[in-house]
Amino acid sequence: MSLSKADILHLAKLARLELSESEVDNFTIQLDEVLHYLDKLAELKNLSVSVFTAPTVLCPRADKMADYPGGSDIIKLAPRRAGNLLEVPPIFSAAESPLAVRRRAEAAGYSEKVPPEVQRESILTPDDK
Amino acid sequence: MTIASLQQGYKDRLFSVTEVVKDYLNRLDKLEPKLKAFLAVQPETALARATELDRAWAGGKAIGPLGGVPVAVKDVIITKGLTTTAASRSLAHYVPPYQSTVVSKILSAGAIILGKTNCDEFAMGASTENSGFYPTFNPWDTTRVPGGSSGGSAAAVAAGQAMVALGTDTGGSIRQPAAFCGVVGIKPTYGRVSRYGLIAMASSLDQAGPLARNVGDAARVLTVMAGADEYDATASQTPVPDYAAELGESVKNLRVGVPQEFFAEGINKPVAQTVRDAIDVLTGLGAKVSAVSIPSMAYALAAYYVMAPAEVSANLARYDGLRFGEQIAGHNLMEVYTKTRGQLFGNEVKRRIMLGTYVLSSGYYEAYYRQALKVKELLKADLTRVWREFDMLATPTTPTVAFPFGSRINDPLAMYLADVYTVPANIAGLPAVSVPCGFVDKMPVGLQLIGSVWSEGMILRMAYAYEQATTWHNYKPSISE
Repeated sequence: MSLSKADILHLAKLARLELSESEVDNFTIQLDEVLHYLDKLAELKNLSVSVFTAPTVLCPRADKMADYPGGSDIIKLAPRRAGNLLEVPPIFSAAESPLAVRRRAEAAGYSEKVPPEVQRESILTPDDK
Repeated sequence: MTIASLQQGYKDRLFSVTEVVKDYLNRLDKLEPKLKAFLAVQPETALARATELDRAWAGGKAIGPLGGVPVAVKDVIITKGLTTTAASRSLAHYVPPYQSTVVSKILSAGAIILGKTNCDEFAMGASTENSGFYPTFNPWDTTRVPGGSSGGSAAAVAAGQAMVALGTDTGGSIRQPAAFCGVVGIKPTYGRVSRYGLIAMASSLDQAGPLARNVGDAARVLTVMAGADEYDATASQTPVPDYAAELGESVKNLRVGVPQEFFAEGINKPVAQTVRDAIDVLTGLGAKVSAVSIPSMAYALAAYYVMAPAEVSANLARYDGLRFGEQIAGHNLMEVYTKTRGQLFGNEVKRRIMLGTYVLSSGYYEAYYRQALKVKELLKADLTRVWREFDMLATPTTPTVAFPFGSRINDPLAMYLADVYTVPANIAGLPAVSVPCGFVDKMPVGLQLIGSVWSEGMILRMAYAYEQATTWHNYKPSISE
C-alpha cells in the first residue's frame, strides 16, 4: 500500500501538525519508503504468541494524598495565563461562537432543544467572567 | 584519569574540587566552538558547588561515590532550575520546577553538573543533526556526526569536556554515540533506572544510563543511578549491586554467543573484522565463544520503528502550546495546536508522530502495531532460549563507523538502519554495553555485549576484562590534547 499526499494531510490533521507544501511532498516520499520497510513484519505469518504490553512487574506507590507545594510554579510555566488560570484561545471561531449557534437555533425554532454545551455557556454570569 | 584516581587525588589533597572543576570548564569552553556538545553550561553553579564540597571535606565530611566528579547531563533529562529543552525549539525556555530522580541521585552522591548536552530533538535520531538548535561534531573528525541521540554526551566525554555524562537510550541512543565517539556506554535493563524526569519518547523502551571514558567509571555511575523509585512504578525493587566492586571477578568460562545475523548484509567489512578480532580477545580471556542464530533479530528494527513512533505520537500529544513550553499564536485553539507543533517541531519529530498516528489508526493497527508487539514477544521468547546456552551475546554496536554530516539526514530509512544492532536490547528490555574495540578509517568502533535481565554486573565485568586486555580506551581524540 502506498501513501498519497492526501494521506499525509489527513495524518497531519489527526496529529495536529501544520505542514508546509515542501514538507508534505518530502514526507509523502519518506514515510512511504519507511512503511515499505515496515511491511517486512508481514513476512512473519500466523504468529501465535500472546501480546502482553504491560511491564511484567509494577511497583506502584501507596495511593495516599500528599501536598504538592510547587503548584503555582507549574501554572507559571504556561505561555499565557490570567492570574491563576491558563488562558486559551476560543474553541469556536467567531462565526461559530456559542452565541451564534444559539441564535441560529432560536431563529430556526429550536429554542427548546438547544444543544447541552450551548446551555452550559449561558450558566456563566458576567461575574464569573 | 578515572573517578577512583580523581577521588584519591582529592583525599591526598593533590588538588581541590574547585581546581578540577575550573580545569574542566576551561577545556569545555575551549572546545565548545569546535564541538557544540552543550546546550547550556552553568559555571557559577558548578563552581559554587565545588567550593561547598571543598569546605565540607576539609571539615571531615565523607566524599560521596561521585564526590567532585564533573558530569554533563543530556538535555532530555529534567534538571530543576536549569533550562531543559530536549533540543526542541518547542521547549526553548523551559525551566523545570522539579528534579528528575537520576539527577537528584547523582547530586546526592556528590556529582557536579557542568551543563546540559545536545541531542537529537526529543531523543529521536542517530546523528544529533535533528537537534532543534545546532548539530554536535564528532571529536575524532569534525566532518562526521557524533551519533545520537546522546551525541552531545558522547562527544563531551570523548573530548574531556566532562568526566562522565548521563544519556538516555530508547533504540541505541547511548550505545551508538558511545561507539561513534570511542567511549563506554551502557543501557541498563528496562526498570533498572527510574524514568521519573526523563522527557518521554517511548515509555516502554526508554532507559537512562551513563557514558564514560572507561568501564569502571560507567559501573560506578550506574550503581548510583539505579534502584527503585516511588515516582516510577516501572523502576524495579531488584537490589542494586555495587557494579564497580564486582569488575575484577573472573570471566573464565562465561558463555558468549555471537549472533550470525549481526554479521550479515549491511555491515561494513572492516567493522565486522574489528569486532571479530575483539571477540577473539574474549576467547583469549577464557570465555567460551560460539556462534548462535536468532532469526527473529532480522525483524527487530521494523518492530521498533512501529512501536517507538506509536508511543511517540501519544507522548508528544502533551505539547499543545498551552500549559508549558512555547506557543505560536492562532485565531482558535486548533490553529494554536497546529502552528505550535508544526512550526516548532523538527522534521524527524513530525515524521515519527505521523508514522505513529498511522500505525495506530484503525485499519492499520493490526497489521503494524499489534504485529510489532507480537514480534517483540517472539524476540523475547527466542532470547529466553538463548540464555539457556549463553551468558551474553557479543555483537558490533553499529554496522559502520560515524558517517559524514548530511549523508543520511534526508534519508530517514538509512538513518534508522544505524540502530539495527542496538534496538533488539530495547525491545527485549535487556542490558547492553558498548566498549571501544578499535578503529576503522581512524574512527572508533564499538563492541556490544548484551546480557539477560539484571545482568549489568556480568556484561560490565566482561567489558572491563576486555578493556584491561586492550589499549583502545587509552586513545584520545587529538582535539582534546
